[in-house]
Amino acid sequence: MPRLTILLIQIVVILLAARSVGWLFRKIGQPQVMGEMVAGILLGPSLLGWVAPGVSAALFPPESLGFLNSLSQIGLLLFMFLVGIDLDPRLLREQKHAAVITSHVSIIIPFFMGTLLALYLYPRLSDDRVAFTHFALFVGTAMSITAFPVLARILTERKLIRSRVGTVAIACAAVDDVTAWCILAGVVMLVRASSVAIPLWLTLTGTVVYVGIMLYGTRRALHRLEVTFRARNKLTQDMMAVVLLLVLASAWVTESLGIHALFGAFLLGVIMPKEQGFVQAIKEKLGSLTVVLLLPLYFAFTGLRTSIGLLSGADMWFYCGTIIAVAITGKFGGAALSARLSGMRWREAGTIGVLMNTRGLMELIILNIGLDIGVISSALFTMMVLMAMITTFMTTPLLELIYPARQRWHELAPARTARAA
Amino acid sequence: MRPILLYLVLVGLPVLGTLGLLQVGQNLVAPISLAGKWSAQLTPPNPCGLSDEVSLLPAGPTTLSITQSGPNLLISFEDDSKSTFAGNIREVIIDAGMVSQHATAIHTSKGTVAIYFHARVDRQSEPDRLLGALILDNGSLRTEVPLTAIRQSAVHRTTGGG
Repeated sequence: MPRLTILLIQIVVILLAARSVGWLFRKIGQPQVMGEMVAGILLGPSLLGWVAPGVSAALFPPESLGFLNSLSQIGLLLFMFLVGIDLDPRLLREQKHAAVITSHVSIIIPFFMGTLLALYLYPRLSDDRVAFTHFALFVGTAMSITAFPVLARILTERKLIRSRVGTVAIACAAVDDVTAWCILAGVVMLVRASSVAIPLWLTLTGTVVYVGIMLYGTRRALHRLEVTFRARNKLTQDMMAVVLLLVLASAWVTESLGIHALFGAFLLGVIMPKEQGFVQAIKEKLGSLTVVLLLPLYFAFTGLRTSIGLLSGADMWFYCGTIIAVAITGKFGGAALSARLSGMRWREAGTIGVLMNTRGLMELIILNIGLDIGVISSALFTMMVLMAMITTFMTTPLLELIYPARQRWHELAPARTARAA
Repeated sequence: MRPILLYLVLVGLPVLGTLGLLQVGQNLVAPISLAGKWSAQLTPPNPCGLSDEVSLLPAGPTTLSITQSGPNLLISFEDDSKSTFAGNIREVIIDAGMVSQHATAIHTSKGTVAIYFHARVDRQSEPDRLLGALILDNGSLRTEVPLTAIRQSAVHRTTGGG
C-alpha cells in the first residue's frame, strides 16, 4: 500500500479512537486528554496488537512509523510552545511563601524518593549501558513532574482557578514544570555528552548563550510583535509565520546543542509576551490543529511503544506497583505536607496534593525522551506510563472526595460576591 | 524566621539526601547490556536423534533481537521461525526457554520438544559476541545446535555502575 495511504488510514483510525474514548472519559468526569491517552495505549501492542496482531501489523507496519512519529513530533513542538505560552511569571509573584515552599517541596520530595527508588530499580530494570547517576536523575525527574495543562483544565472545569487552592496549585505546577524541564535538559545533556560527538562544555556554553539571546534579544523582538498586534488588533498570517519560524528555529538550536528540540519550543513559549489578547490569538490559531489532530498521533505513537505484555511475572508487577506507590506518596505527600506547614487547612493542603499528583501528558513526553536516549528500558517505560495514567485518572475522583462541589461553592461565595459587586 | 527554617528542613534536607543517594548508587552494578540486534549463525549438527526438529530452527544466518529489562531478556529470531525465548542473564551466562513458535515445531511425532537458549557473553571481543547453543530436549534425547551471535551495532557504554 502506498505510504501516504497508510498514513492517512492511520490518522483516521487514531482520530476516531481518540475522539470516541475521549468522549467516553468526559462522560465519566475525566479530562478528554485522559481518554485520548488511553486510546493511544489501546491502539498499541497492549490491546490491538494482542487481540488482532494481523490488523495491528497491517495498520502500523514498522516502516510507516517514521512518518507518524515525525508528524507527532511537530505536534509536540507546537504543544510545548502552547504550554510555555500559558506559563505566566505573574502567577508566582502573586503568591507568597506558600507557593514558593509548596512548589519547591513538591519537586524535591518526589525527586528524593525517585532517587531512592532508583537504588532499588537500577540492578533490576536497567543495564550497564546506563550510568546510575543518569538513571537516578531521570527517575527523580519523572517522579517530580506535574501536568500543568491538564491541571489548568481541571481547575477551570471545576471553577477552582480563582480560588486560593487553584492559584497556589497553578503557580506550583508552573514552577514544577519549568524546574523539571531544566533538570531533564541537564540529564539529556549529560547522557548525550557521553554518547555523541558534542562535548559537554560546548553544550553548556551554547546553552548559556542561547538562553541569553532568548531572554535579552528574542524577547524584545517578540514584544515588538505584540505591539504590532495591538496596533492592528489582529494576528496576521505574516505575524503567525514569524511566530512559527521562531518556534522551529528555537527547537532546532536546542536539538543541535544536544538538549532536545522540545526545550527550545517550550522556552520560546515561556518568553512570549503574556498580553491576554495576543496569547489568546496565537492559541486560537495553533490550538485546535495541535490538540485535535497532532497530539492524538503522539498518544498513538506512545501507545505503540507501550507493551503491557512486557510486565510478565509477579516481580515485574511488584516493581510497577512500587513505582506507582512511590510516585503518589512523593508528590501527593510532599505537596500536601508543605502546603499544610505553610498555613493552609488540611482540606486545602490535601487538594493541593491531589492536584500536584496529576502527571498526564507531560509525564508521557518525559518518558518518551527517556526511552529515546536509552536511559530507561521498554518495561520501565511501560510501568511509568501506567503510573502516569493512574495518577492522572485518580485526580478528579479524589478531588471530588476531598474538596466536594458543595464545599467549593460555600468557600468561593465571598469571591463571587466581590466579583459581582 | 519560621518559613526560612521550614524551607531549609523541607528542601535542604532532601537535597542533601539526594546527593547522598547518588553517591551510594555509584557502587551498584547493573546486568550486562544485551538489548539490540545481533547477527546470529546456527550450525546444525550431524544427523542425530532430533534432526527433524533441528530443521524447524532458523537455518543459516539470521538476526537475533534482544529486549532487556535488567536481567530479564526476551530473545527473538527475526526469521520465518519467529522463535522467541524468555529468560535472564546472570553475570555473563544467558539462560532462556522458548515461549512461542509455530505449533508444529513444539509438538512433533516424537512428542513435545522443549527448546532452550544457553549462551555466554564474550565482552573481550569488539563488538560483543554470544557463544552458546540452542538445546532441544524431548525428555529422552538432547541435541545441541551451536550458535554464535555478534552485536550489529556497537553500544556505547557509560561508566558502568557509576
